[in-house]
Amino acid sequence: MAAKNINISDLSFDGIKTSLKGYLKTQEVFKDYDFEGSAIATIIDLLAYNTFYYGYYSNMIANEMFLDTAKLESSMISLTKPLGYLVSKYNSSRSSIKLNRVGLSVGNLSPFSVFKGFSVAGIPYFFYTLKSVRIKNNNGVGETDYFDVFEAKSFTRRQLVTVNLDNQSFVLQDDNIDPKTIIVEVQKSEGEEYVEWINYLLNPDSVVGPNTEIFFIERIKTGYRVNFGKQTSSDISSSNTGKLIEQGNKVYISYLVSSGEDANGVSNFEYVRDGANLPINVTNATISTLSPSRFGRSKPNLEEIRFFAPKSFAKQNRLVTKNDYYAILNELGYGSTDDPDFSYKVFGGEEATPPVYGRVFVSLLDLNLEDAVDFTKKEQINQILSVLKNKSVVSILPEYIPPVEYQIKLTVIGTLPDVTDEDKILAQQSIRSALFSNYSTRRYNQNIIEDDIIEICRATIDGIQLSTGGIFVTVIATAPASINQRKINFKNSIDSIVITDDVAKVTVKNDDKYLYVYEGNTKKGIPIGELSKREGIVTIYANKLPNAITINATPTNDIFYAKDELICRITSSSNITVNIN
Amino acid sequence: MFLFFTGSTYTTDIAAFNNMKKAADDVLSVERSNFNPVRIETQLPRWIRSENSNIKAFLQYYYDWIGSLYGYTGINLMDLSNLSNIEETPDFMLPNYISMYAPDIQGIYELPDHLRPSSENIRKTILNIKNEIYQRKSNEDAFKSLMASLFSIDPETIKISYPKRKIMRLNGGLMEWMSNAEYYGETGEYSEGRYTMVGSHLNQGVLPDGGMWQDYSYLITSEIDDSNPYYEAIVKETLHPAGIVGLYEKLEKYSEEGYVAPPPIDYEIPRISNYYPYTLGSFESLPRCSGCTGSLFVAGWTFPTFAYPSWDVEIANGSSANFGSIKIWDFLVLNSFPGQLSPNDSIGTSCSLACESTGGIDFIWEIGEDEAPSSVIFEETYQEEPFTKKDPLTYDLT
Repeated sequence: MAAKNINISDLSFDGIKTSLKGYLKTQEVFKDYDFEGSAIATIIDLLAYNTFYYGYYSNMIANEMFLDTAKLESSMISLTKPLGYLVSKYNSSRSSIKLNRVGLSVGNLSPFSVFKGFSVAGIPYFFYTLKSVRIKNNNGVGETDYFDVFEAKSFTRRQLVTVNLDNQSFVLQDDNIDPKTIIVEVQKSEGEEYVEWINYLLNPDSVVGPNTEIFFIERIKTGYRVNFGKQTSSDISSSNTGKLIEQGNKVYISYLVSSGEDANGVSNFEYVRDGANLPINVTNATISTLSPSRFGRSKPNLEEIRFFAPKSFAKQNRLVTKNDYYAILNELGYGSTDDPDFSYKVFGGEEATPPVYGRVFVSLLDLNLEDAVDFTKKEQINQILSVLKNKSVVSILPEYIPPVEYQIKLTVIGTLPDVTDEDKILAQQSIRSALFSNYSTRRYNQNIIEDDIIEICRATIDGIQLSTGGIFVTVIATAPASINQRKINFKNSIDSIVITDDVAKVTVKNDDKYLYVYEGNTKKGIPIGELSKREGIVTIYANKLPNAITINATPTNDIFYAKDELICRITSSSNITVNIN
Repeated sequence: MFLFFTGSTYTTDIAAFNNMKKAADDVLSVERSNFNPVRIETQLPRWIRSENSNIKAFLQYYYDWIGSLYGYTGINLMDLSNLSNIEETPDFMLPNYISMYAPDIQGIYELPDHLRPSSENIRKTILNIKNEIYQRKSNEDAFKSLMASLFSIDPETIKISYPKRKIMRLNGGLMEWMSNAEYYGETGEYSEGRYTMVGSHLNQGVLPDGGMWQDYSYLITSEIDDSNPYYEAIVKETLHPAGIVGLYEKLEKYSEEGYVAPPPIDYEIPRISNYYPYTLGSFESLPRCSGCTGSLFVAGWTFPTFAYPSWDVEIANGSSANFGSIKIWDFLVLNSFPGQLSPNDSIGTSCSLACESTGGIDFIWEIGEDEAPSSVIFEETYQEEPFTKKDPLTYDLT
């Protein structure tokens, strides 16, 4: 969030005028003048206005000079350049799709192959591959893994550009380009092989030396400047900013021009054509879509820039602190807001419950390995970890940990004196709505704390009387069917649990430490598991409760912290009970 | 607007005019240590300058007045360049610099005024943040640099130590076949040319645990008082490597039951200095293991047991369910009962004795006098050589 404005000058006209007169009166020359009744009053007015505008101008300059107070996109672009952060205007919406049952006559789908999808409103958008996609032979039928496609309203493919060899750069005059889709290919000379150079924006982990074939993108007012290595002396090997473009080299540019956020939410993709017009047999083909298109953006999120640009600078291209990990995950395209809790979480092993030293854990909200499409996600995770590992401290191992989601059930009991029953019902509805609004978001670090709940209720209904004794929290976890031992870790101190097996119609409770099947209030048989109250770990012994089960846990003091990879939220307003007397 | 200065012929106005002219000449002739860089003298058309020196003065006063706001906001409105100069910018602008270049230290503005680093320190830190801190992340210099520049701590007083150097390893890394002197040294001391796990005696080791005493931890001590550990959050946010335990000179408690180590002990060092049997209630060191009875007795044991007279008294004072006034510390370091010698005094280790008996050792080690547990402070005891080397042949067991 932007900081409070800098005010280096008074912007009240009367204040300015009074101050000016006061100053002049202190001067020997003007001390006897009547500033109200003569022509000098006109001059004072004039100068006060001048000062007013000057002060306004000064304040604007002062505010635009700093990242946390700047309002203009152009200021942000300039301010973040020394921090090594690129502010892009448009980002292409993207989706992950998979081709099934295609012919095997062609081994690969070419870059810039075209797919058409439709938005919810039925508007067609075109999506493009940027890399070659392998078509695998699956029992005589061709199929691909999931691959990314990027939306574009137009595209440029292998356009020859002229590089200014003196400053090793060229300019793309279109700020609708998604800079992450820029591809630079270089031929040593005409007719030779195209060599694709590295886009630093996509590969911030690149180790850049004098012979690294890499390019850097810089935002300018009218578009983007593509920079190559800078020669710092006559000796080419002294350049550590990448290989230079030499006389005779042929440089080709490809990129997508994005429709921005309009193309979000597109699904129902159809194959249109191959990027090299290869004859792909799609007669029987189907397309699976991982999720509707997203991450399309039509203007930069200034708050995101304010949050991540300084972290990117502090990172200095290495991963040591937690903030460094947050910064690089943003650079890699995960998380599109200024609050990473809505996208991912990083925590050191020393913070984990229980501690696992020498590790750093990364959890991404959208990458749950339990999904059916594990393979693609695992690949994505491996790519992330590969980048993290290259930048992290030697001996510290980055690991991925999928999010674990628990549902929350709330009961609030309070009193609202001197109102009608109808008002009480309305108050109950308002509180339920407010609590659902506050706790239904799927995000990390959403702690359930009695005092916060009380504060929300009081802010919603004036005069409501509540106490911590009137707040009840239940945390609900599920465990899949299994005959093996199962452990459910709540990572919080738990007072008691109730387990239900809806198939076998069995209820299990803890007596103190051990879990028993209960019939009414009578426990039956031998323990089928145990509860470690302090650690919040529920253990179901092997061959006990083999069906899928639901565990309702009462956290100690009705406080539950969303530690580590835990996500807790209220999934339905029916999980909120409000009783107002 | 110029009529006022040229049109009046009244005597009083003429006098005023002359006064003003003189004042203007004074103003314009004075070389000021200038908060206002605008010299109106050089900016007006010649015809005005030659005929209306009063207007020069008036306008100069006007710009001087704008410049005089410097004293109010700390910003010279006539020269905004100081906004972008961290060495000159007023204090109230420093948070803007911090949020841009050093977001990790923003926490200093949540500190009470008397604990907050001075403006000078903040400026120094931001000026050096890239080269001295961010680019040195994860090394000791970065910690020292940040603590020195932000909190004015003398870098010489900052010590960063690694608990893993003291962790007890299995058999201290000492194997039966390692009869050559080159394998012997101090437990966990990998410095001084000993970079392997071998070459150490078990006795100096510390039992590993799930907190400080493990391979991924570091301890920072400095002259910052324990009562003001405010710097921890800021240093951690800026430099702490994720995945590692950082201990920032905090009081650690050993027992989950609420036991607090007595001052001046900041950290209790679990140390098995002697692992021969002890005999409660006895005031004598015995020549053989007569203190061990029942299943603990090993026939043929020829090494001594040791007496620890205070323990049984203290246990007797307590109920059957506890250890009376015996603290964990007493067990770990065999804290001496007043008037009694510690049984740790002047004794060796089982290893040294065993090795001596088989003739396979070159040196034995003795706990030095400076090991008195009542004054044990982490590092001061252990960082320095805690043992005194002695000739094994002169060691007298009786």
